Amino acid sequence: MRVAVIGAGVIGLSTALCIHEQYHSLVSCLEVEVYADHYTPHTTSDGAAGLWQPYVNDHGNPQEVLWNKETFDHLLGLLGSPAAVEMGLFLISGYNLFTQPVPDPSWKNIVLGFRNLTPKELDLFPGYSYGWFNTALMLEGKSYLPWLTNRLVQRGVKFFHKKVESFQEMFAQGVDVLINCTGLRSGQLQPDPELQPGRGQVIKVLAPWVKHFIITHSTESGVYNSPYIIPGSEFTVLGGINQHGNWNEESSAQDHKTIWENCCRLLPALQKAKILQDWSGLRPARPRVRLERESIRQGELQGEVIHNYGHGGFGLTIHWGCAMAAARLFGSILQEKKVPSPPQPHL
Amino acid sequence: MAAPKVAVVGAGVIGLSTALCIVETCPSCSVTILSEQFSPNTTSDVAAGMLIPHSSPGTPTHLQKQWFKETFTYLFAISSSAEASEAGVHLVSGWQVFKNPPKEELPFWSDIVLGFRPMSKAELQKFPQHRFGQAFTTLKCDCPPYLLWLEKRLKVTGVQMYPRKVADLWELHSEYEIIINCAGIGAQQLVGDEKLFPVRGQVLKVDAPWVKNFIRDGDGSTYIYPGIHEVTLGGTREKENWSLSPDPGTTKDIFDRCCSLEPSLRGAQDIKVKVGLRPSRQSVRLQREVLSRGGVNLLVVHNYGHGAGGFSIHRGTAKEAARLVGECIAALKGSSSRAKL
Repeated sequence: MRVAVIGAGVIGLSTALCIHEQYHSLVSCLEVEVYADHYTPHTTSDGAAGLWQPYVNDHGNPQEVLWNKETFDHLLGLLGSPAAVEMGLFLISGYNLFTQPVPDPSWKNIVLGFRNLTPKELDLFPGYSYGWFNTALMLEGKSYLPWLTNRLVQRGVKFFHKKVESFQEMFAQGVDVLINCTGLRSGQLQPDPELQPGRGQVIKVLAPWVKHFIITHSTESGVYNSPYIIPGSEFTVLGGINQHGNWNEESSAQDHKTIWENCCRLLPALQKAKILQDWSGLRPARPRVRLERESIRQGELQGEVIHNYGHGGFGLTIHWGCAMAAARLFGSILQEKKVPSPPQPHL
Repeated sequence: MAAPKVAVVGAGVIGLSTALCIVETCPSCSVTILSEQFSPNTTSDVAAGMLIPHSSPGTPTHLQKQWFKETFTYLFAISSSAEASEAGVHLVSGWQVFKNPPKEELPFWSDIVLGFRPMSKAELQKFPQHRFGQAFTTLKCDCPPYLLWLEKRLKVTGVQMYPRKVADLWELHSEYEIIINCAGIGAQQLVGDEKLFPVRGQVLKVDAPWVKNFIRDGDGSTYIYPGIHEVTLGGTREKENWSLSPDPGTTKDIFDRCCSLEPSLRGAQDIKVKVGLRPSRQSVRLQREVLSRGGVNLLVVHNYGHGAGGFSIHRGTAKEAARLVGECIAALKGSSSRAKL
């Protein structure tokens, strides 16, 4: 049984790992392959700061809330393990700031120590009158993706540097199941008007005295269009750009100015930070994540596709829950096909 | 009367901050700092510089609280200014965890630090050997940056600094009218204070930039304090131990204790070992004294003996010392006008 995962961002690699971990001993000759035109460090996942935090306003999708929780709990369990540093996984505390009171988020009991900010804490952030403090996780893509890759290589998963042009091309090669983790460019494989880019730009700076994440929110600007500061293990990410429908992957001087001025106003000490570089990426935004099976038939070619894309600005946050769900869908495909298990040893 | 000549002995956090307070409250004073050591070789440079008060049994709690509050307020303003990174002052959040119920549910400083609250069950799961905990946000003064920043502010006002080992306060009486004794552990020899004793602390400074929160065992013996470029791992509290040489067995013990609180530290790089002698005393000696010899008076203000709590109360005690200097100046003026009669 040949399974091809298309896409090597956090979604593709984690889904490949979940499927291989759960099924390779249950299915005889399970071959898992990864196809992608971009690998780490050139994926969208590599540019993200890596903070585990769902959007403040849910779409109200309870499934996504559960997948977020599964991911957090899974990562929290790995914190004490020797792999944590190599994975780019660590705890981080910080602030979410608002200009008016807001309802508590769906994830308040998932993160650690969630509470409202005290008046003295709000004094730190003039212009903001309400906020939250909590401890969450960082999962840095630039470390996590290589770690996932190593695990997959150890398991014998093969990688191909190739831009897949169609599902049909893969079925024609003999692939049985496709896992579509193509993020932003899923529309090229199958048109999806609900999938739009949410263009982001960030400035990476050296500001090692910053130990907290600081995320501001503005109802007028919309999600991630308000300044944020996220300290990583090597550099601090300044951001606050989310331009819906903008496909431009080049960094813009205007956006740089916006980010820099807003973040320095938020944290005056940043004025002394050393600027390393800008980065832009396109969040694969969708009203909800597309995570479902589809049977594709074209002439004599047929095969199963599991879609797992459209994770917007919360891919790292939700990835493990989605990978497990995709693996369950794969399990149901196996059941239907009545795929044979490996022979049992005779004693 | 001509500008009073003031000598501050000692250039750790107490000496430098006291000199700065004197300059702020008495701009006409001429202040000189004399010290055997300057940053990065002072006791303060070994410390992590965390604002978490330590109990000072001989000092009334209301005074400790006042000094801590003054220090916290002062540093809080610096941390939110553009100077924060140069001054090395930054906020840090974390946890104090206890194996046994803490002596006080609410320490006197709980309403001065930010967001103080008991840890939730979920948070405590990260510390399986501990059953209680407190979470809060406080400030950290990284050294050398903080001391160098104080030195820079002092130099701008014209304060001179000289490396010099003062063996006896009387050496200074012909050049200076008021002596401020901020000699820390050096005060034992300098003024013969037998109530002052070292509490030796060994620490590790390691490279572990993914550690963003502090963790401290409530018994004070084990702590992990993330600074700007290094994480300080500690520690020891060895009374009456004067040795400044790092002990390898202690290094391993500190590392193991810290790794059991934070396993990811096993991946820490570039481990450096440092030793400091906390200048410990039942209470901080913060008082005026008039020394007399052969009809000559020497006005002294003592400000030493802060033990493990120097950073936590430095600004508060510096301000009090500056106030005492004001009293000395008034006394000098009084005696000089009497001399004219």
